[in-house]
Formats: sequence, structure tokens, C-alpha cells
Amino acid sequence: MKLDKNKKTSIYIVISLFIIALIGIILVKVYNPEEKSFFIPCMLYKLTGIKCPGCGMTRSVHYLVNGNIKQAIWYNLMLIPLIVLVIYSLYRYILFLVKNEPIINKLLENLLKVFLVIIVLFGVTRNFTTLFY
Amino acid sequence: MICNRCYYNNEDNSVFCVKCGEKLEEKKKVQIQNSQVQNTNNINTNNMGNVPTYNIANAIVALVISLSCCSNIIGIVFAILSIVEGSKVSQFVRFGDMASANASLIQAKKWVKYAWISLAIWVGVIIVFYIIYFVFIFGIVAITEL
Repeated sequence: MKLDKNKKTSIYIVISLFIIALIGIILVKVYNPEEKSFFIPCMLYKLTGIKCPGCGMTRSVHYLVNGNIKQAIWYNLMLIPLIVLVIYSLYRYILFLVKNEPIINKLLENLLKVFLVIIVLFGVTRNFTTLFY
Repeated sequence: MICNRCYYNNEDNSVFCVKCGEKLEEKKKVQIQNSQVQNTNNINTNNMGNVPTYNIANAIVALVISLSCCSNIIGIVFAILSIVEGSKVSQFVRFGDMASANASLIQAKKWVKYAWISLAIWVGVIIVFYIIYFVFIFGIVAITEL
């Protein structure tokens, strides 16, 4: 596995993101975002009442790590697609480190385009339905 | 003579490109096709050689993250600007106007860089806020127990 400067920087960035995510997940596992208020609220929702596509993600992850998958999906539908996307991107990243393949292949690019359309539709419809948060 | 770097159409007797300063050469640079040596910054080059190609996935990721993080408006705007400018690149290439294609590509890359910068600032502010918050809380607990 050749490690040039580009790859080294990318590894530092990915590891830092990983650590931040881990800390976030531990915090969210221990504390319930609905009771403890030190988690960041959604600014758009606080100011205008409009829910953005990221609203409820903290609560969603809390229920996910505590085993309540049904509640997790209810609070933010995009949780599962997001997890799938992240896992596949990590897989592509590992291929990039080991085999030097470009991270973004045709499949990932199409997945991203589809995800973008879904997330915009989700962001709009969630403000007009009570089927999910 | 077409410049190999920015594709500007210079006079035939020019030695250097009047637009970007690159030394003008008769033959195009030989493109290394072997993916083992390929540049690792993920610029897609098809086998036509130095054709400017826009990497839309980068902007899409920036746009998706901006949408998910409290609809970071600035990030969304820059990412969309990048995608719009980037769509012009393939159109210019199809018409053979390499100079404009390259100019659009450079501009689109700038926009997506601004999108990432605004996201980084947003995340940085949040992290600083949390550090100050927790230091404050632990500071108060430590002082009251002394």
C-alpha cells in the first residue's frame, strides 16, 4: 500500500471524522436528545418552523443505538439510505487506499444523484405529512 | 497554436500562451493511461486525453451534507452554482470550445471549494461551541466542589 502525501492527508481527515462521529454516537447513546438540551437544535426549524432534511437525525441515531429501529426510522427516514451510502463510500475509500482506484465510480455517482433527489423530495414532503417526522 | 494547458488559441508564432503562460508545444502531452500512476485527486479523464471533465459527485456530496446540516444555505448555494457551471463543461467540450470548457471547469471547482469551506466553518463553529460549553460546565463543577 503506497502512502503518498495525498493519501496520508486523506487518512488523517477520515480518522478525525471517525473520532468525532464516535464521540457523537457515545454522547447520543448515553443522553436522550429529547431530555438533555445540549445537542444542537435545527436552526431552520427554530427560526421558521420548517423542517430541513437533517431534522431529527440526532434523535434518530439515539433510538438506533439504543435498539429502537422503528422510532429511529420514524424520526428521520433518510437514516437508512444515509448509512448505506456511508458504508459503500467507506468501501470505495478502502479500495482507493489499497488498489489506487478512484473513489467515485459510476455506481457511487449514480447513487449520489438518486440520493440527492430523494433527500430534496423528503425535505419538502416531511413538512406536509404526519406519517413520519 | 492551441495551448496544452488552457486550450487558448494562440498565434502560430507564439512561444508562450498569452492566457496562462504555458510554453506552447507542437505535440500534445502524452497522457499516461496506466491507472497505477493515475493522479489520485480523482479528476476523471477519459481516453481522449486532456479533455476537461467535471466531477459532479464532489458537488453533490457537498450539497447533500449542506442539506443535512440544518440546510446550510451558503453551502447549498455554492454547491448548486458549481453543478450549474459544471454542466456547461461537457456542453462546451461537445462543441469543441475547449478554452471555455476549461474556464467553466476552473470556475465550477472554485464554487465547490467555497461550498466545502462554508461547511468546514459551520462544523468548526459547532465544535468550538461544544468545547466552550463543556469546559464551562466542567469548570463550574470543579470550582463548586473545591
